Amino acid sequence: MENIVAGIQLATTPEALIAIFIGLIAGQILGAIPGLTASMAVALLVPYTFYLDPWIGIPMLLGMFKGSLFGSSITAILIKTPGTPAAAATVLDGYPLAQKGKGVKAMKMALYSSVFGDTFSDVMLIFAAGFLASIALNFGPPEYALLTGFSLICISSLTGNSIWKGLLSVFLGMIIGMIGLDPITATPRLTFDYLELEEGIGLIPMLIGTLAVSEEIRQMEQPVKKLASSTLTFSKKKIDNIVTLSEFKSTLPTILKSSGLGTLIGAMPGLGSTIAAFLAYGEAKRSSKFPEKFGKGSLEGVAASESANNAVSGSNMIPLLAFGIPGDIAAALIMGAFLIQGITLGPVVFQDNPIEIYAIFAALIVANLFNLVLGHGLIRMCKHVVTVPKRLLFPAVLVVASAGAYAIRGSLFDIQLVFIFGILGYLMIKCDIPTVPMLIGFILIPILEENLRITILLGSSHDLDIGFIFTRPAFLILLLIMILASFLVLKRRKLHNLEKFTNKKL
Amino acid sequence: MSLNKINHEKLLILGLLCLTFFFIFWVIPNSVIDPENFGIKDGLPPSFTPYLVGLLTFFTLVFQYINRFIFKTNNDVETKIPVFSKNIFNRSSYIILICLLYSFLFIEYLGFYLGSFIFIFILSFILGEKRILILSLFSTFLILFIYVGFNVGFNIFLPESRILEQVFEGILN
Repeated sequence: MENIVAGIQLATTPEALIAIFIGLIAGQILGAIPGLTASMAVALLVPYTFYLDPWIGIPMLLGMFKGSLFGSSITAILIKTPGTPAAAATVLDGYPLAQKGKGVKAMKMALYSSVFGDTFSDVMLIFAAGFLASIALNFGPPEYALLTGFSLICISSLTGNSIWKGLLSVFLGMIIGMIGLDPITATPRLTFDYLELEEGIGLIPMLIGTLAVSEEIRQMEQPVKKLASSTLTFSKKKIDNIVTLSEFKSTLPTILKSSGLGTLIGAMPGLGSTIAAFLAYGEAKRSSKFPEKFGKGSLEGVAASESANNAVSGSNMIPLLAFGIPGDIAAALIMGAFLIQGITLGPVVFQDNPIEIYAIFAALIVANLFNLVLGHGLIRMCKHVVTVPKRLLFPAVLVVASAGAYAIRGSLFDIQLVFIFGILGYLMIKCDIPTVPMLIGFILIPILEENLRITILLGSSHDLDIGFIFTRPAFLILLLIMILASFLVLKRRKLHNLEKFTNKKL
Repeated sequence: MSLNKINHEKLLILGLLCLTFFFIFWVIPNSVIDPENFGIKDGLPPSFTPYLVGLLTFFTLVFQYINRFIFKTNNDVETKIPVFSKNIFNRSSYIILICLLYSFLFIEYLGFYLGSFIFIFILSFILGEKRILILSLFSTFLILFIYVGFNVGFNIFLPESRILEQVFEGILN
């Protein structure tokens, strides 16, 4: 108990609170700039923490990480350009809501669900760090392969109007994701000896190109008169600018479920917030009473993706604190900052530095409260940015997006990729092929392929018998859950099609 | 340039089938080389996944073709056909051309800042902003904002102009 009180005191000194505040503001602004990811925001600050007192530097880092996750959803909602890949799923419903004049409502829903997801995962981190980490550690290559394969099938069948187009889009993403060095043998694949391709296609240029540039090209083809107005207008009705209690209550089950899913995924090293957001979105659509509203401006869609991607931020500290394994790049960077300060994370940290651990927990909760307050200010500020006429805003966004894409790897090729994917996305939109499954295929193929091939390699050590996977309890439980979920997906899709067919006939 | 729904889908599937064949029979054999003596004990070869995805694409397309045009079933919720009026086609072609020029030529030869200035100027002009003063001020302000944010704030140095560099070098020499 003494340790807990001491930890809270350490995290709530005026210096630490100011550090969290500054970190959050910087994170929200950085997150809103396309191309500057949460990891990048943290990476930019890590070297400076060396010169700061540990309990100024670390809370600032935590604040920056949380702030950047929310900041990224602002641009996703207002200009269809996710600030970070984690906000890509927020675009799907956030942008249609903004087009209806409900941009502020969408941003507020994103803020509330972000803070909820964040707090949920922080509480889980505090109370169940050890338990969740032990579940996550039971997942080996066969389970990861199964989980990612299932996610691919689910997402391709749930997005867009036709299953076959969704599947094609996923396959295209998988092919693009295979460009570069083979994950096991490091042999170049699909590169045609082009050096730039050996590093693989960057996720950020692909995301910005496919989601933002394609949409802008589509909008720029409108007649000149339409481009003289601003991209978005904000409804003056009060109801369109707030999230009512009843709306929040109706999305609460989705937020809770998505926060749980995000927490679980965050606890598994290597999956990350982008996958969590898309999985939660798919699950929310599958289980929603109104799946037809998804993609057309559903508050549930925004809530699902935002609560899930933010829930990852707390739970990816679970393997970090409990086992010293960082769940993603941002967690690895935070681990680096701890090392700079002389704190080695891992099982012994709870014995060696209990006060510091409780101080981290307290700092995480305080950061969430500050995020909620500061988020409202950011929403108000960003509302004015999009009132610039489209004919000026579109070229400006293209230029800022190009700079963001370049910043990641310092490669001119990435700027070219932004526009190549923009054109590809535009053609896909024209052919009514959904672009999101392509992104999911691209993100998941390295994880799927690596784990599938390691599973086969493990099979070769069992006398080439792949049946060993059925002796793993975690695999069997996961398989059972997925068969059940597939059944529900098919049933829902059938019902949905039947409903549409009946409506058409009527 | 409008097609009816059936012909559009047929053309799309056949076109994609050709691309899939090209991918399976030309792209993969010419760009993925499995390491020598790679046996089953070594696990799956690097070419396995590309071939698997290629074949899955092929089967998806064939299945859809048979289902849609031989058994004449349609499970799609609704299908749209592309809208490409002559005006839209011309406009989007110009926009795409400018974007390609910007990413492949302007930035490389004129540098990010000068290239972006010209890009914003031309594109906004095409989109209907004819006030030169507004265009100049807006482009300059945005470029300055990016310069302060990236170069000064984060020490991220965006590409510089090759041509201007050579010109300055020539003057100095």
